[in-house]
Amino acid sequence: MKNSTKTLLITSGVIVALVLSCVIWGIRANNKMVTAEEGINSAWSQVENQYQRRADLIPNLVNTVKGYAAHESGTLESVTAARAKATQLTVDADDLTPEKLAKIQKAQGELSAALGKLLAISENYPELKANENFRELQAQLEGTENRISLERKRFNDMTRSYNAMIRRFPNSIIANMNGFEKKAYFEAEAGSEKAPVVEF
Amino acid sequence: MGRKLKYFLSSTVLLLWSFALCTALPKKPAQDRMVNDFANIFDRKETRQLEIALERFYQETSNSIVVVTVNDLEGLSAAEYAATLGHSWGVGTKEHENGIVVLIKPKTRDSSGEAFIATGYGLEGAIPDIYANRIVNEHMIPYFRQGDYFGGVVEGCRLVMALAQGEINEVPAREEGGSTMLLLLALLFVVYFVLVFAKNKKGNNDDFNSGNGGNGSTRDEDIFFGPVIFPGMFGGGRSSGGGFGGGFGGGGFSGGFGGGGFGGGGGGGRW
Repeated sequence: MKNSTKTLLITSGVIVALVLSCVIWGIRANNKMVTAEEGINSAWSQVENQYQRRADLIPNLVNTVKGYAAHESGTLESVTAARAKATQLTVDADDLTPEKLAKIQKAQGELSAALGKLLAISENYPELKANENFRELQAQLEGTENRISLERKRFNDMTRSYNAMIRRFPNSIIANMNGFEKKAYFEAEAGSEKAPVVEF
Repeated sequence: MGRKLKYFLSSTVLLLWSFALCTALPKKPAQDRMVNDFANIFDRKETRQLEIALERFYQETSNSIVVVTVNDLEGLSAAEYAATLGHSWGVGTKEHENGIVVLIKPKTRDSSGEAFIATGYGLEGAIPDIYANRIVNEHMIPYFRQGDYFGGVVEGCRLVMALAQGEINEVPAREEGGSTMLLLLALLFVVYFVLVFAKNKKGNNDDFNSGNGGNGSTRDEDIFFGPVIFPGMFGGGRSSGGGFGGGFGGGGFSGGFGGGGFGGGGGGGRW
């Protein structure tokens, strides 16, 4: 009798310890995923910040170019239109589905392409190229493109490692239980997303 | 001996490189080194001079400028490479994020040279992209075109220092502990330096002048290297932890890799 009580106690103790350590592990895994998710959210807002920064530079750039190359109105308009389209599309990180991300990527890619064309055209206007304001804007634009590509890369890296984390066993159990889902990231795109080359 | 050591070090770096394939960037050096000449474009004396000057600048202003030379950008743009490297090494302090990476990919027979000055988040205001751009294109590349990498880097660092100093200018927080040991080391260092200085006095000065090309501005030289030949260590134990590594070419730089972040700021060019 006494012996069996002891066995029972030990067994239940072991079970409690096991369950407890499982629960603790689960909480930890959960917290890790939450942290990763937060990291992705802030990385996404950095991406959007940089897109916004580029958009903010464009009106000034367009006006400067207009002063020297007014009859390139077609190109100028396409930049303005692409900018308007791109700035309309902003998405909360929580709401970032692959479709929405692809849309954003496409709109921003079109803006990049339009800008690249504008900068290519400006090569034909020596006076414009010599303009101090234009040069400054060009440098700022180039810096913004660098920032965009960097923030995008960081966002992608974080998302990829998060996706791997939630799918890996045994994390996947917790992820399923608590509704952590695979997140979208930027697809590599041939050409259109390439930053315009700004030559000095 | 020296060559063997160099060989050993470079093969170690190569080994580390192969481990770091996922990022394809050189691993952060075990010790915080201000000059990481993976492309081997500086000789030992140049490396030492640069290291001492940059370390001293860090000690006085807490801004850390790290010079990195590589032969291959691993398919990244120079801007991306410099920012990613600075970010993963954590150049600059965490508080101010005041790191700078001066990246040089020397010109080779079949690829053009590239240079980029990447600014940490905290210095994007002090060194706007356009300034970094101008420093590289108008002040460094002319030297590089003539194959004078050292001269170009010295000129670039000098200008970067002047700009960075305007923004963040404070003595970095020092690590605690071991003060008597440090004092002893400082003393040893001073003795060592006095010896080296006495021995190389003439050579150093001449070498530097020729390294600076036809610049002809003595004032500039004083700003950058004048105090280096007389390092601030003579002023007492204050900089002891700092300049130490430079003199011995390896041991214990005090810092500069404090977890600063990079967001793609800066400017560069190619030749």
